Amino acid sequence: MALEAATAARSDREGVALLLVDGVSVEYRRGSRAIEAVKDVSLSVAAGEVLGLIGPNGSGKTTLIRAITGGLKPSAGRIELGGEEVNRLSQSERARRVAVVPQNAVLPDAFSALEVVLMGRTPHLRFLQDEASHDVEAARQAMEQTSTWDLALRAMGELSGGERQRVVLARALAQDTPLLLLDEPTAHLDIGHQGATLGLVRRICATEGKGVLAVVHDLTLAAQYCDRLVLLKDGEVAAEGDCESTLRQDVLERVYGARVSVFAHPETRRPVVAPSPDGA
Amino acid sequence: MKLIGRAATPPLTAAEAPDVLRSLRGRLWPRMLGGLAALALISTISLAMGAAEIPIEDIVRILLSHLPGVDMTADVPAAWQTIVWDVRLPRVLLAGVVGASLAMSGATYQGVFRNPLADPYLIGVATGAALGATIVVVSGAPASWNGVSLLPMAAFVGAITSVVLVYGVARVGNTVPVTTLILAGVALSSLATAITWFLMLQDTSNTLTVFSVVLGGFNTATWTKIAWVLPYAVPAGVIMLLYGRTLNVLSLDEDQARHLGVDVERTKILLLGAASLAAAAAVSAAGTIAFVGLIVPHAVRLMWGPDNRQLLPMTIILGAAFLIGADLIARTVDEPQEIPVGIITAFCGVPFFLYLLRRARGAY
Amino acid sequence: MKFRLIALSLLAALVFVVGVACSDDDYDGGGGATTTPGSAFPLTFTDDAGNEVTLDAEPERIVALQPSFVEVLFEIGAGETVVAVDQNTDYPPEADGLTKLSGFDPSVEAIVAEDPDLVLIQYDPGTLTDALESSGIPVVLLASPETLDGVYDQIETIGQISGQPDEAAALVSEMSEEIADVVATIPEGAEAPTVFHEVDNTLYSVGPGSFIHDIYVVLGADNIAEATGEAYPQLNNEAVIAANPAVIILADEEFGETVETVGARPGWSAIAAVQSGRVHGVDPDLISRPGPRLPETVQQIKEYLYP
Repeated sequence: MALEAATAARSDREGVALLLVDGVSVEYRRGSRAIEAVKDVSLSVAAGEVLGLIGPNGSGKTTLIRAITGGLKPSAGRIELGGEEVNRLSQSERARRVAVVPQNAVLPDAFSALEVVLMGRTPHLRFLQDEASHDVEAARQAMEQTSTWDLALRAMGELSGGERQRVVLARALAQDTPLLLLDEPTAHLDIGHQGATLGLVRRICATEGKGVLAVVHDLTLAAQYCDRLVLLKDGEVAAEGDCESTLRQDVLERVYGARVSVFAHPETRRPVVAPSPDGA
Repeated sequence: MKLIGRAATPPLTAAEAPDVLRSLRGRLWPRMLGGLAALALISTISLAMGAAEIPIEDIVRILLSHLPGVDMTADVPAAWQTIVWDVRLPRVLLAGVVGASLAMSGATYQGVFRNPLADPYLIGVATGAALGATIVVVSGAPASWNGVSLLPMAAFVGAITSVVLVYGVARVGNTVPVTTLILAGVALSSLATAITWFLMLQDTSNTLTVFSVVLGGFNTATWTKIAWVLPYAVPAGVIMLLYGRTLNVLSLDEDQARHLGVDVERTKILLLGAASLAAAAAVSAAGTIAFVGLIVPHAVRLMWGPDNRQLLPMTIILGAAFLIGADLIARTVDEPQEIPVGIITAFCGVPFFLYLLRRARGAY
Repeated sequence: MKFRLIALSLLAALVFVVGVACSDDDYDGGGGATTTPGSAFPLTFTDDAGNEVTLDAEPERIVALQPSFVEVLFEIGAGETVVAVDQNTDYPPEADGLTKLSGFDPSVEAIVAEDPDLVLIQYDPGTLTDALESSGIPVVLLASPETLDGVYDQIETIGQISGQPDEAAALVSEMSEEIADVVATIPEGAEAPTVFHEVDNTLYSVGPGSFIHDIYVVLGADNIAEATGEAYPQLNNEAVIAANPAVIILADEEFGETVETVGARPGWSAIAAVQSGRVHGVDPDLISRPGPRLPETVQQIKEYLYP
């Protein structure tokens, strides 16, 4: 398969893929029926790249994410984190390889932002060990990167939705893993912070060699900040590759079932997708 | 006093990591020492007061004389020695152990269920204990309290059985969803209560005894009862203390905790098991005393923050002090009558708690 | 906010006060029933719940939901009118075949099914009286007597409403004579013995408001629970030890309490009663029933108090 060849080639250059999803299918049971939410999906993330996972509501993005993080068992295929199969890894091992920024994270109101970010250091602490100076440094660095350090001692309950989201991202950064998994990381952010957050993610990829799999709702943002895209429809891969080839008007209209307009960003030349007036 | 709620002051941004850690932690050791001092004070006052008016110096002499090689009891009447050592001291100690157990279990339940309204009786400990005791009472078996006693054992077995049943009902494969646990707990508790009442009505001559179990009290505290509770309360307490940091991470939802490497299901079962065990032991020795497991952890959290590494030790200390104080009031305010200690805990606990809520209006 | 706090505290205090008040005196206390003077039937009087009850004729089918009521009715010759009894009734033997109903949580249907023309109860869980009266059945509530005289009054009331006033009066005078005889045998100038009456092993006792306490008063004993002012107080362990009763009366032997078990309680070995072996059991059924067998128990207790 072309994907495997490409992955192998990339891996040869940069080492083992941080994330490998190979022919994965995931089933839900609804009563007596089995619904396949993900059908034979393959993708990979290498160090230093941002892979965007896009697709309409219900296309299987969240289900795939849950399979990758170990919440659901795939009915077919295999998932590897840094070369090891996910199901063979212990919880802490998994937590040292991938950090997850979930959508709508439930956060305790009473803890301070810094304490929540420090929870990201859990996989690195032994059972009876408490946080030490270097853990605080990792947290501080992560919070300064996400512009949340001045919120450090504020209680989570006092923060706005956007601030909370950035704290969760800081926590994932403080977790210091080679792979980041972001589920709608910009959902509550205003346009300024959307750009800043995704820009930060790109920079970290480049400078620290992390890999990122991001589920992004906004196609333009996805194009702006991702190196490659995987477009899902009804649980299957409908298109994949670089942003220009994936975000083509015909492809999008087929997948989303609506008329769209794709044009090039004046500065970056990357695709900008806008909905067209309804006529389809 | 409390850091949470104030905007970070400029020094923090430039502060060194160790200072940040220190300001986060607050001062646990001074607080614990303060708590221990309060505990020692209330224990001393409690030892000094009672129906038999015994002067403090004699009390001190009696206590010290139990150290090997010390005997200062020359002028002290034997009756007083017995009262201080065999009646009051076990009472104070048992109240302390039970208070610590209930408060600690409450804190753990609140952490695992991520619900500030959780108390140690949420999944059936209290109703199971009452049912166990009622079965023994109604069946007519003897139940003396000077040594081997069926009633506490029956209460304990009832409590544990209830929790195990609730767990079994709520279990889904390998997981125990928290909401299902609560619902199953409510349902089975109601069933246990219904059976208890039915049994009680079959033989109404024993309602007083059953009420004693349900209302709770330390009137019949003995060294034996303490020896009975400790083997459960202490290991359970150690487990809960060790899991303080993990309990913090559990305050995120279970998915997030799992993503951070915590074995959520195993941790839940271990912590709920330990907390239930300690609560069951406490209830079997002293009946179902209300409010301690709910109010003490809350009060500690409102005063000193949610970090369970601080919350749990302080909860243990203050839970003990609170119940010793409540028991003191229960046995002296209306002498020679004994007021059920649960009434005192409600009366003292609730207004104090309301006051704390007002002060911390923002935090909740 | 401050107002809410004050309001809540006041409400809590109010609930407590009401609770304490209610726990003492639900009813008027024993002996509050009155009759219209001079007549037999029809009879109108006020029972202990304050209800005015009218009996048109002498009852022929009585449901008596308290063992003491049953014993009295049989003793005064009204036994044939009793059609159903309380489930704890075990005396006299003639009552054995009768239907047993719950006295604690009575079923209206079961009572009505007996087609009674009088129902005697000691306790109304809430709506029993109303339900029965709306079925046309007169209900008389007689509360637990608070004094020995209250016991006599209650027996006389039972006599009046069952149409056996003379027999009841005879029973009362027989009982009071027997008890007076017992009291007369108390040695002149004997010291009042301090006594602890144990109802159960969590140290519930009897005090003012319970006729059992009044028995001790009549016998010249000093009940250590008197200071509580409550009818059924729970005594503090240390208070019992400090009071150092000379005699302990156990009403909980069925729980396995004996001289040995009592003496083994921490601190209790110092009590005078334990040291002199003056720990005695009484039959809880006999001591707790204000009925014709009371004088036997009074005799027994007197012997324990003044050996």
